[in-house]
Amino acid sequence: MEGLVRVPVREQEPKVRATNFEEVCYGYNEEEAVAEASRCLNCKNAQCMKGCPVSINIPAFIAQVKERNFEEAYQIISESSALPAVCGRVCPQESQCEGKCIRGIKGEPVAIGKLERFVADWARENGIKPKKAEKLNGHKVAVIGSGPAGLTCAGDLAKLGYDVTIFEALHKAGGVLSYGIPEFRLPKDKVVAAEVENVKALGVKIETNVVVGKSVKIDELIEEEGFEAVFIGSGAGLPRFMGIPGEQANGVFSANEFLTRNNLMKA
Amino acid sequence: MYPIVRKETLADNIILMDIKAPRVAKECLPGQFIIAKTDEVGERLPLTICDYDREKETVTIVVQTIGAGTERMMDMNVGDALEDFVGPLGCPSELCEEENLAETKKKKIVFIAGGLGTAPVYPQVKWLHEHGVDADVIMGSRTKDLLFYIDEMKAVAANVYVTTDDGTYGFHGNGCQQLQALVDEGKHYDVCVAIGPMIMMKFVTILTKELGIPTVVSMNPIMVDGTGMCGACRLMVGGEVKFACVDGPEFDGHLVDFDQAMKRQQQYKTEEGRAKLAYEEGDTHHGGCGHCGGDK
Repeated sequence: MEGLVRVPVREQEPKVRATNFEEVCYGYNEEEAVAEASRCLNCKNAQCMKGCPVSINIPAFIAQVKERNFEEAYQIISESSALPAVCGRVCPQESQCEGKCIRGIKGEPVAIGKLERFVADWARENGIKPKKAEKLNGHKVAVIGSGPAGLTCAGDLAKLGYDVTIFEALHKAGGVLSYGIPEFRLPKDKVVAAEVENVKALGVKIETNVVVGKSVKIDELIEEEGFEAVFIGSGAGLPRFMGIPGEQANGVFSANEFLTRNNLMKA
Repeated sequence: MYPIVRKETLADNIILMDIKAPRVAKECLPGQFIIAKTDEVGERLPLTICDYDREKETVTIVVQTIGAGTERMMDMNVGDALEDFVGPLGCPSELCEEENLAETKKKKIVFIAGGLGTAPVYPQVKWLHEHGVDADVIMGSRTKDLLFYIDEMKAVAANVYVTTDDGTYGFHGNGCQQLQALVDEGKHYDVCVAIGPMIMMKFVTILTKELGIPTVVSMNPIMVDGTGMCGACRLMVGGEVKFACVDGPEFDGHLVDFDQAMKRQQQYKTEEGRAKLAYEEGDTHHGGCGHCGGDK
């Protein structure tokens, strides 16, 4: 029956992708995105939005995609999300927005994640940036950690006119997006760096190589550097070793070490 | 970027640099370390803090060139800048904490610095000197050409004993033999701090256990992020997993499982890493690790 099945997304052939680190999923092109968007029922009581942790106005952005107003779709997403190109790729949509989609009862839910990704990629390729705050409110906020939590918090505050500085312990911004999620799932230069640039374009400053608590204390940020509030988005933290035999053997890595060596250090 | 404001050659392949790094210079204490990266694609190199100047906002590091990463640093000059310089990392030395000062003043302290270990020993001895505690220092190296900072150390220590394995300068022998000789002469020590190659620290701890001297060691295992996130630098200390980067780098030397730490050290993936290991442990490695075949 028409509308029960989603527009398939193109991927690298398994035998090819086994030989490279490039992104497996190609994403939708314009025609595919418009066709998939037309499956949306534009529910009055949109269940998908209830499944979205940041309550993106999903029916509204999809309606704009259907009409080929991709820039407008991007601005609608940007009202709620600072990282659409990332979230469109790595959010667990099947249990969030798409998990609630009415289309999913009798057939396949609308490919909301793939549409979000398409809109974000289109905006990047066409040089569209999120809207900057019209004026600054004169309040300084420090954000600890430039991972998804920190970038989102910083982006939202900057849109409200706050003067935000992110402090990052590593030499590169992005947190788990940079050191953790592999290239074939989330391209670093094309997607992560561009999303970080978008947050910077909102006026957010990023200072790398600062381990808050070591390089500077929170009290000093407040008392000496004039920050009025501090958001701590320091990440998932330490690996936990289980105390099993052979755990200290060479070649046994924590997930974080394995991922960091591959993704951040390219070693 | 972190400008290089001073560069000096200390010894064969050993250079000293002052790096302008205001945040690190403001917060660092003896015992801590930094991670530096020369450029975009450089390795993250963990390096000990040799000195710091809070007013000039500089941190002094000492680097021994053994491979591509450190050679790139060697080629850099005053006016160039390091791309990344993060710290201070790890915990400060317990001996150099103001709150412990009353206790520390009662103790006779001996430091044993092996090779590049002189760099992290110096700020501790200097801090103690500035706080009215004068420690003895044994500085050992394989040969005369690798010695550095002797005069600087003499200016802040009670006594400095220099040793070379080949007898080209000072006491002919290693740090352990020098310590034994001092104890035989009637010297008494309440605490020993040993910093250098793992094999040297291992043998110091074996000796000090016999002599009944509590011993602190500073561990320098392979690291990746240096902030406690990855666990590459894990060690067994007293039967528990500890991370050198956040729990250390200093530990009770009598509790560290050195054999395992040295085995883990061997997992360097690169030529450079293996060269470093051979350089640091090579001639001084007299077996005992159970893996090198040196237990003849």
